[in-house]
Amino acid sequence: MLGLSSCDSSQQQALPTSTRLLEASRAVASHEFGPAYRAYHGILEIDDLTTEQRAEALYGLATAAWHRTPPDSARITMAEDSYREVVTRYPDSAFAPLALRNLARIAESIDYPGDESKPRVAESLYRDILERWPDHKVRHEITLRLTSNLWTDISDEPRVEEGIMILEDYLRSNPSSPYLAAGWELLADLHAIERQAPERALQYYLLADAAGFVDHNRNALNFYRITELARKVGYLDTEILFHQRMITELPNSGRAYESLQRLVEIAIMHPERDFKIPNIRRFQLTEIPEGNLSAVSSISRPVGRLKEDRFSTDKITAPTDDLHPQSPYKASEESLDKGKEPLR
Amino acid sequence: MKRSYPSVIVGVVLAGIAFLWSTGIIISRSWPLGQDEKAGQKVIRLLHWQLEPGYREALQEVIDDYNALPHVQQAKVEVRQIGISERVYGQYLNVHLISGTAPDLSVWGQSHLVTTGATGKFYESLGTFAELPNPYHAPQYLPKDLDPELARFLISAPWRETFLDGMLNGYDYSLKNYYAAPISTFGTTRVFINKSLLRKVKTFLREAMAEPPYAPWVEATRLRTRLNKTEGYLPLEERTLTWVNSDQPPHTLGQLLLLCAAVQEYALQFGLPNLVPIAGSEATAKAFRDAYLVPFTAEISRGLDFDLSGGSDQLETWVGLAQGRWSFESPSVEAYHEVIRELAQQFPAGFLGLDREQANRRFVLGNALMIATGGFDAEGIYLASQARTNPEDRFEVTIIPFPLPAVGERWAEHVAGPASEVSFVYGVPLAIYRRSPNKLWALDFLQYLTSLPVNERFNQRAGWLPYTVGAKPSERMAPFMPNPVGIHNSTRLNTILRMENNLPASTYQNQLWQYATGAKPYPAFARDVEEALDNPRNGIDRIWYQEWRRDVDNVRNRERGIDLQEFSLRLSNPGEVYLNDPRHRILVFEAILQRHGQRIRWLHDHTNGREPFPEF
Repeated sequence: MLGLSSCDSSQQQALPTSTRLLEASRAVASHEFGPAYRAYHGILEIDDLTTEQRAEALYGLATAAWHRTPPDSARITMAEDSYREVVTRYPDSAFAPLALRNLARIAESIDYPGDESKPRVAESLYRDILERWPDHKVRHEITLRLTSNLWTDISDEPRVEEGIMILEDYLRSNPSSPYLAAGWELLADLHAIERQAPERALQYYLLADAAGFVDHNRNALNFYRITELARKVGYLDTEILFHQRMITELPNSGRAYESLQRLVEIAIMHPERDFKIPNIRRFQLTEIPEGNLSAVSSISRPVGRLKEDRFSTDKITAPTDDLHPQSPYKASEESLDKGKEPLR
Repeated sequence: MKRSYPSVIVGVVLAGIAFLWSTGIIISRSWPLGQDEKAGQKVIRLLHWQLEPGYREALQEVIDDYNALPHVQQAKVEVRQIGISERVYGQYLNVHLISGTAPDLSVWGQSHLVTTGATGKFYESLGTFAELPNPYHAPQYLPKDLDPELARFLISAPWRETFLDGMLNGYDYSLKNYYAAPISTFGTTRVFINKSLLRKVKTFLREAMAEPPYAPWVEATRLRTRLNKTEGYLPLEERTLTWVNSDQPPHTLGQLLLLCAAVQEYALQFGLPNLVPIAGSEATAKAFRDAYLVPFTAEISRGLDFDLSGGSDQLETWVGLAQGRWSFESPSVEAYHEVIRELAQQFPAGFLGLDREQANRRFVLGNALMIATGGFDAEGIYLASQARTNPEDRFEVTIIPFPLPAVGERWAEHVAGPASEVSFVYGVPLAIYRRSPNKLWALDFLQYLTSLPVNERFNQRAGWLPYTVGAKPSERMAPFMPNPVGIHNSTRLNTILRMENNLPASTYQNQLWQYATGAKPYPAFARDVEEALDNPRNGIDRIWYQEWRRDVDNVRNRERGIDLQEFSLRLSNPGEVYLNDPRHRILVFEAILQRHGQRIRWLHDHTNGREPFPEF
């Protein structure tokens, strides 16, 4: 691998432009923003660059300038100017929509002490991208960025509603969007926290789960939120299912035991409910400290009152009899407006 | 003092020889790759700072086994370890990371280049491999007698799921990727008990409780109410007597405190002024303080959970106090502090001035019945307890978890449950150098080392705890295995961790021990913390601002990460300017979710009404 740091400027100048662009990109990808900046600067001095090469070099130069540390207003202005040049001088370049997106990102970001976020500027740029490149791959990301931008001030109800509407419409009309799960989770998060609307948040979380949560490292958090929201709105089956899944799918999350406790509690409170309480996979545990388990009444007493056959090591699957044949969670989307429990 | 001239020369010459020798060793260890490449051999260098007795030997055994594998020999691959002192590890790694000569595998951390967020610049991401099964968990590598359920799991599970914590200790949250695979754990904190002393004290206690009326010191431990005030620890009835008449260590907090009372009396009656119930030190005190935080404050913590994360962070904890959602008069908070005070009374006077080593020494000299420390001290304590000159002074050690109050004992009604130990401290996270010419072989060795049979054998031999699911520790280390059964570690009042300029937290930490040692009454301790919270410069307003600043910085880092990922993707997908790659998507999602600190501002408005957001 040829590294920029090990290559002086005369050596670089002797290389073909495509190689120089590749090496400059590699420098950005390796956090080497200073060398990358100088490399792109050198490339831009070449007279016979193609339009696309010039757009790429300008885009790279802007990105390196934006992320160089320490950040200051001069570097940010330089980045903005370069991105702007890509958009205005090379609007047909593959980098133009990304440059416009990055102008919006910079407008929203707080880059250095004293910098201010400018969400309205960013909003207008995001809308511009969607209008000018409605079929570009970046539109999915931009739609999410735009809706989140509209939620900057939660007290501005019309804008918040508009954001929700834009995102919902987009997700429903783009069921194969790469941002499907992310979009549902974004809506769920907003409704769970700022909007304080547990039922709706729950429905969105279930849709995100059905699409496959965007980041599996958030699964424990999301499962926890689903169980809490289901408990709040009294959707017992949903709560039970996600406690079961917490134990079987995420036994190392640190939440499995609390789910076990809660299932025992539900089993005591609702003897009519027939469900299995999965055991935490034994090989992932050491023995439960003898003194501690027996010491805590809230754990030991209810367990003692349950029959052995309530506990299972089998894989837990969602009950499917009342659900859409194609997807165990399909019912949740349909029930969004009907106020029904999504899982029965 | 007059010094002879020749001796100075000899000293200087010796120092010079030592310097040259060390330099030679370092250089020879730093550059083996070039030498061996000439012979067509690929050398995988592994850098670490674990110089504890046994660790390097255990690692070498594993390395030798790996180097002897047919496919490794065929490829002319050889793994070598470089163990250097922790003191110079950071500088050594910094130099080699920058100069492009870092070892293929090194322990992640210590280098400020890595700890300040440039992980992605120097280390290879392991995300793709973390999602695939570890090839060394294929059936032919697993022991024949392995639990079939465990074997099935290991064969098919993604590599990350075969670690006790799902490999989260190797995960970089700002880059949203895995960069390291830890190979050991330090284990958890436990209570060590001197078995010989336990026998003597329990005999003494048995005699004191042979028949009522009991001596006043025993009666003082009886749970009772006097003038509307609860005193004592446990009912002195059948269950307690059964335990007293056994050889068992304490299983409940009440039993532990009864035992402490017995030690105090035993020391008094037998004229043993150095004998204390618990070998206290600053470290021991913190161990007890932390051990009881989740059990006692989990319920309150759940009520402070504004962001539905299942626990309360520093902001939620202090906002909760400022808004009266909890107070020092909350029964479980008061109970928690009573427990800490009672335990602190069992430490030697001036324990805050004692360090971990001094406490360990007191314990191994038989001057304390108990000590609380981690698995990292176990080997030293076991050895020292058997190394006394007089055989009669030698003793066995028994290990117990921190016991909780049982039903019927004092404070039992305030306990929500035991704490999960899933957020345990890991050790030796190995990462692959980004510029290594042999990355796939480095990965291959790392997967070999983290496979169940190898990780088990290695850690048993090294006297550490394994990190791979299902791997068994040595018998001695077994009690230190983290137990995930319990309430999540974040579900607690987060009063302990100290953020920069967080006056409430620093006041809490300092004043807690003033209170616990009896130097300050509880109301005064509480008042000090509440006053710190109101401090206009470094109180709750500062905490709000810091949280907001942290969120803003996080978003900024994620935005940087998005571009790094995009440029990386372009390198591996020529012609593609933008790809909807899963990791890129995660970074975008996380950046969007935090909304440039707006959630913190919303939370502030939501909980403070029209108060303007504090600026500093």
